[in-house]
Amino acid sequence: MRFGLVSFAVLVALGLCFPGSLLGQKGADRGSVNVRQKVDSEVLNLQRNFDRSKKNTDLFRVLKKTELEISRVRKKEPRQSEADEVYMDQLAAVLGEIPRDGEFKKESCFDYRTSLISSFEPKSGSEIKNPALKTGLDVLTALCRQAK
Amino acid sequence: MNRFGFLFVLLFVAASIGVALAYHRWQGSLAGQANFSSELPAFERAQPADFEFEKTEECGAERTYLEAEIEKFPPVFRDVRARAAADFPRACLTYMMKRQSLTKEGASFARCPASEGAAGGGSPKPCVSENYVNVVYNLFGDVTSCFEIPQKEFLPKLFAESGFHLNAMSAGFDAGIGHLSPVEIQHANASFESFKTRIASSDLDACKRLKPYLSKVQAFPAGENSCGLMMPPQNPLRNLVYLAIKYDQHARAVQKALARYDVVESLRQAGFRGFEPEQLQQVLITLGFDTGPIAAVLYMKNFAQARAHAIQKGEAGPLQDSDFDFNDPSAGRGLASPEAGSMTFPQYLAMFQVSGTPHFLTRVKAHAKVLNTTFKEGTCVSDSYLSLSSSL
Repeated sequence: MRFGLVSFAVLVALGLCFPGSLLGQKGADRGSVNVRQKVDSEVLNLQRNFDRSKKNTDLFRVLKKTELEISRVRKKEPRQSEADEVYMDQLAAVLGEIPRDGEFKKESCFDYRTSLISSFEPKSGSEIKNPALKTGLDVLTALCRQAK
Repeated sequence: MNRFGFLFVLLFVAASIGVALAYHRWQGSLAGQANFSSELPAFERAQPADFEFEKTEECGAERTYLEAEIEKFPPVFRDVRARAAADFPRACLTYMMKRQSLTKEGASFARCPASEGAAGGGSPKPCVSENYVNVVYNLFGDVTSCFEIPQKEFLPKLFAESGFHLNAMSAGFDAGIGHLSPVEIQHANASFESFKTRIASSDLDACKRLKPYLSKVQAFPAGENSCGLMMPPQNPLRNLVYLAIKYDQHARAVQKALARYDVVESLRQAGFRGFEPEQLQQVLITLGFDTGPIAAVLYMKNFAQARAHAIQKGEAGPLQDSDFDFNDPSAGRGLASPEAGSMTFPQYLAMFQVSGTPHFLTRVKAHAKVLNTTFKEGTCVSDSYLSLSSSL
């Protein structure tokens, strides 16, 4: 009896502490985690590949390659949960807005960042909430750090 | 532990999960209702006094803090003109300035010690004198006419956010009539000088009236205190020029993104066609002020694709005009098992919008409705504002 009461109290406390996302809010589809994870892992690889790139042309080549790979991975799979579709579409759009070789200027990186935030979350204040924008800004930061 | 003990524990575990789920659902619905209801206009029926100017001597010293600077504006802005630059009556503005008291959480009228200093909150609402209304009315009309951007489209949004008050301030930094955030101001700075050049070189009467005062208006530097976007003499002209730049940037970004992501085709696949492209752009440009213009276009695309997918599976019918009805303030609440493909667009935004203010368009639409019930329909805002109608 005492064990049951303790279990009850612990689980209620856990339930109250964890955010609603674990309880199925926002329509998260558990079956779709893999494609989003694959996309995120492509973006992580991209940032590692930036660090290995010696020239600007290499940076933009790996960026293009990642975009194509993300598109390929998504086309291969059925439609994912809506939250994941929104995330992956916005991430692809954020990456697509980063200027390419020929028009990219390292000294304009601050302006590129401003433009992305203004286009995807203008009311962000000091904290970016849009996860796709957050990931995209990490890519921009890595690109700007490595570019010449 | 014997078998009964084990079953007893299992029963408690199940009960505890049930209690936690029920608690979260109850809290979620309460939070949604509390946050949203405070954002909707709860205006009583308009009284004759709502359309009358306030007399400075009746406002008292504590509410006339803008008056001395307002009186310094040249007569071309301070006086009633024989022919207004605005395409709506001045009474619309008087009404909005009188009715908006910034009751939304975190919003207030700023107290600025100097025109460039740091803003504090908690000022009483400025006295809505005839001079004050005229200056805002004439400058808003001139800036929007000079840049040839639609005027009435701004009214519900600005009514909801600043009430056209120079020193309106939100919980963040959004300041002044246009209520733009720091990052929006920084982004607009890239076009600030070219817009000044447009004013200087234009033959339009509205631009010619603004031209002599351009030297007073400088770009707002990043990191500066927000009083510089609110206080005269640079404002409201500086703030309104930024608003015009942002509208222009949003309109371009929305048009480009609509073509890039072929949203019209996505809507067609969801069974929605024959609508006016300008209506679609109006919805997305307005939403873009909250979510960002490219994100706004993507939400519409995702929404249409979700419906098209549901139609293919036989789970939903084609999109209809009612799927774009922003009049229902309860949109998105009470969806126990949300299926994106069967939602309306307001419900979709309520569920999947990851940034900005929840129910932004519904709130703006509610303010348009207040204007259209207080005045004859179409006087201050078009009666088809924020709606999409398919002709098929």
